[in-house]
Amino acid sequence: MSTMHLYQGAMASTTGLAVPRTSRRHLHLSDDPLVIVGYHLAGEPAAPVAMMWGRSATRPHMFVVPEPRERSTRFEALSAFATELVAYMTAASDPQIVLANPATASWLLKFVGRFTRYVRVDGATPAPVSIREAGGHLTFLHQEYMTPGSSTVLTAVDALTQHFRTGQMPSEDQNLAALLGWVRPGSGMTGLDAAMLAEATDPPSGPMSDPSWDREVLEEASELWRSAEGDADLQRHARRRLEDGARDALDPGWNQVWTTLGIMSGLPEAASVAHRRADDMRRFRDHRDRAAAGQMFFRIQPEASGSAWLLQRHERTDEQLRAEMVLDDPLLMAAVLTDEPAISGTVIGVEPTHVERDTRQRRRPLLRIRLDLATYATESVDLYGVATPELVVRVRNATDEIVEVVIVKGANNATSEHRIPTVGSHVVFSPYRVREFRNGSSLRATPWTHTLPEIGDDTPGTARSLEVGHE
Amino acid sequence: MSESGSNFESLAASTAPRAAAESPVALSRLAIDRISSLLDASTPVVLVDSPPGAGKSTLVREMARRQAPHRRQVPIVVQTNAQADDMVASLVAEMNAGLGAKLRIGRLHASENYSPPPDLRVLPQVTYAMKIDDLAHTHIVIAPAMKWAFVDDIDNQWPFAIIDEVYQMRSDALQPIGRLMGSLLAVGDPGQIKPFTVLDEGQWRNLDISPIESAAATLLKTRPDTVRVALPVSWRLPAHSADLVSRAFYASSFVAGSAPEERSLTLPIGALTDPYDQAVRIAAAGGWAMVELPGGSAPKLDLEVADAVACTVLALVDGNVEVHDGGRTEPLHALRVAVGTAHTAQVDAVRRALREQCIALGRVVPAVEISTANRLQGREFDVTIVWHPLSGRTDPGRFHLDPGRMCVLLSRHRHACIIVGRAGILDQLLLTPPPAEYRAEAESDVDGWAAHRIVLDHLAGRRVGVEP
Repeated sequence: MSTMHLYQGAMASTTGLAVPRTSRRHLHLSDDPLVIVGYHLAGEPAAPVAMMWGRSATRPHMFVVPEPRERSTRFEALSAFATELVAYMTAASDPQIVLANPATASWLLKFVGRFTRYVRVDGATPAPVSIREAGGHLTFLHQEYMTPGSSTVLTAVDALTQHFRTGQMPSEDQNLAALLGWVRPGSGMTGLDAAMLAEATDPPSGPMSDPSWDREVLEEASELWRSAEGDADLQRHARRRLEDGARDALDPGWNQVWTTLGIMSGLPEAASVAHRRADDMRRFRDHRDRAAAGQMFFRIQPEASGSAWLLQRHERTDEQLRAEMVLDDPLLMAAVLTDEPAISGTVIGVEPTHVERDTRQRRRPLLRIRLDLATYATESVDLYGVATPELVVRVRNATDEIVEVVIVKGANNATSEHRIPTVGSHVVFSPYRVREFRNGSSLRATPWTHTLPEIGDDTPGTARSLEVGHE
Repeated sequence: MSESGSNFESLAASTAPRAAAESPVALSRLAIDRISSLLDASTPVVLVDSPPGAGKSTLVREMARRQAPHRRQVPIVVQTNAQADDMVASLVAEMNAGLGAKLRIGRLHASENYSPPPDLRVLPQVTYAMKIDDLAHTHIVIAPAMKWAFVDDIDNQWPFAIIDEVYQMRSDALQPIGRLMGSLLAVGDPGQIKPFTVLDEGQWRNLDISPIESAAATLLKTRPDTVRVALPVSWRLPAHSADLVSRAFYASSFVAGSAPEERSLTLPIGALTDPYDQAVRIAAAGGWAMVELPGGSAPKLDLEVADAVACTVLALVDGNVEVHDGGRTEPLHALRVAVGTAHTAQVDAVRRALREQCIALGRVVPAVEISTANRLQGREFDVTIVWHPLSGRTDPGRFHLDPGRMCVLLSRHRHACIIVGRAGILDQLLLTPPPAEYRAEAESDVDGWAAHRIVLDHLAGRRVGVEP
């Protein structure tokens, strides 16, 4: 945990208001997002109870499952959602799914995705084809959720905690209503007041419902539904009762997600968001092509070669994301300057023809910099110019006030010496730079060192092929 | 004792009746010959567990020399360029001493930017190349795993290869090696810091074969016929340290190669007024000491601990300590002293504190090594000073309880180790349940929580209180 992070937490709890962690928005916002909030049956993530979704804050769609334990009722309700998800994933030009919190992402994208993508669409109790198709999309969306820097799936909690620091514990930030209380407490209230009020009055934003709601609303409606078997009117009545109760419970979470999107749109977009979004869209188009060709297959347990490849790809992406965010955002750079080897200050002296006294006698221009704050940088670390990424410097002498650096790359000959900063200019050097990664080893066959011995009852070949990745 | 091995051969245990009579040299020789005969018998995977300072790299070089005459070429897979260069340097030194003098060594490296250390640049026995084809005439080829990953596996296959530091190697890095090599001698120290990812680990841990587990863990899963041999002797750790480190951090026990009387630290007789001098004396007498600040919780960057570490360094290097090591006696040199911490920021804080104290005293800053546990891995010193990873923490997590990190810090010394931290670490530990995400790795049965407790119990009678 960085010094800046601790400071911002202390400041938030003192002032009673969340403190910005960033000065830019580091995620893409779609003009046409699909927002989803929902509940599942307590202890049974594969049994959705109620879901609210839609592309407009004021016109949500909804389904409820009066008897969540019954497969046919479950599928009947899910199919309306599935149809719309498939339509959205097929037609949207700027696809973005927005959920309340990470727990909802894990439930909806991972669990629901897993049980719907292999569901039987033939046999005695066939499920609608759209459900299986939706399962493929949900699984793709889960992969995107796990991909560093992807904006194809957002959660309101992740977005807010990435951009704001509250005065409460990180685990308390998982409650979207309380988190929003800190960020937008409303007039006359502190963030702490607003968060406590929200915790006391707002129903959960999912995926777990409030136990008293289960007892008073869900259980009652279910019983009514069961007792009305054969009586269509009465069953309709039971369903309506549950719909009303679910709307009351989900409405606050639904509104909170849209409020979050509003807050996010108020932040200026960071420079690198557009290129990351282009990567998202490339993956999305590949996925859409596979979906159109009926080729959405996923492994249950990925092959070792696939998971190693994906891990390495995500690690490279994550490293790049971190560098891009820091270089895009002065406030994040300030956090780097407090804790990491980095330099910020004003140039007070330049020796453009300075020569290093090592064996090779290389020309290495020297800069003397008056520091804004003491640096942790040591001789062995390469630092890169924030404004001029071509410049690579290393520290030679440092006190708490003044540091001497030599330019080891980027301004060492006649054609590049114009990059040498002039006396009086303000400079920042950090260990971050955006690098082009060469393509790592491509996806290959799994070698003998990574092949598990057969254990008899294993049935390889079932639903294992094509699309790489984890659920 | 490890459950993961019906195939685990602990030489110290299997030869127990004879062990008492056998010298450490004989025990060690027995293990090495056993490994050699397993390789001669074309065992698909031989996994060697080596405690700190057990001669792991020596074993790798010896096995490469023994196998080279029977093979077209023996590849050696290491984990970093520095390890590759060290391996080349040691092989050349041994060749100059007459061992495998006719062998030719290839050093495969990645980019134009690589340049060998100055003393290795022009050697008749060594060829440097970026392409494996340019090393066809060499008998032993050394490169980091990252470089081997770019060698074409269609044109190049080796029936046998050696991996060094297999417990630090991540499973995903073993895949290219599996594509190139047909059988393996995999050598490593199971007590070192485990590989990791900066990403959220949950997604990657729960797989049958996790890409972030160690290469050794994967081999044990995929090859039940792996023969696992433990090296029985630490040549580095002195007798009192070998016992503690073995008990706290290793599933398979080992002994010290030196007799207690072969190693000692002596100090001139003097009055004991300064608590830091007292700590140095306790460490000199029994191998271990703890410098203890008053209890309390503190941030990662606890500047009072940094100051106490600096005071300990000065007490040690200014204490006129004499080092007796196998018949040689020398004054303790600052270069043979290391300070180890868990975090980089702590390294910086210690450097700063030491510099300030030296300026105040008008003396030169002693050239002690100050580094994180990660960077101290594989290195050896006479005396080490360790910033206790749990000092002042109210929230020991997976990182801090990691037995590997603590084991590295406590196993770098030939003579003594002084630990610095706040009082009450044991109480904190006892009050803190192991974090939810904590779970022992498949290849080691060592529990970080229990290991810390064993160490703290051992330090109980060796504490010296200091005031900030």
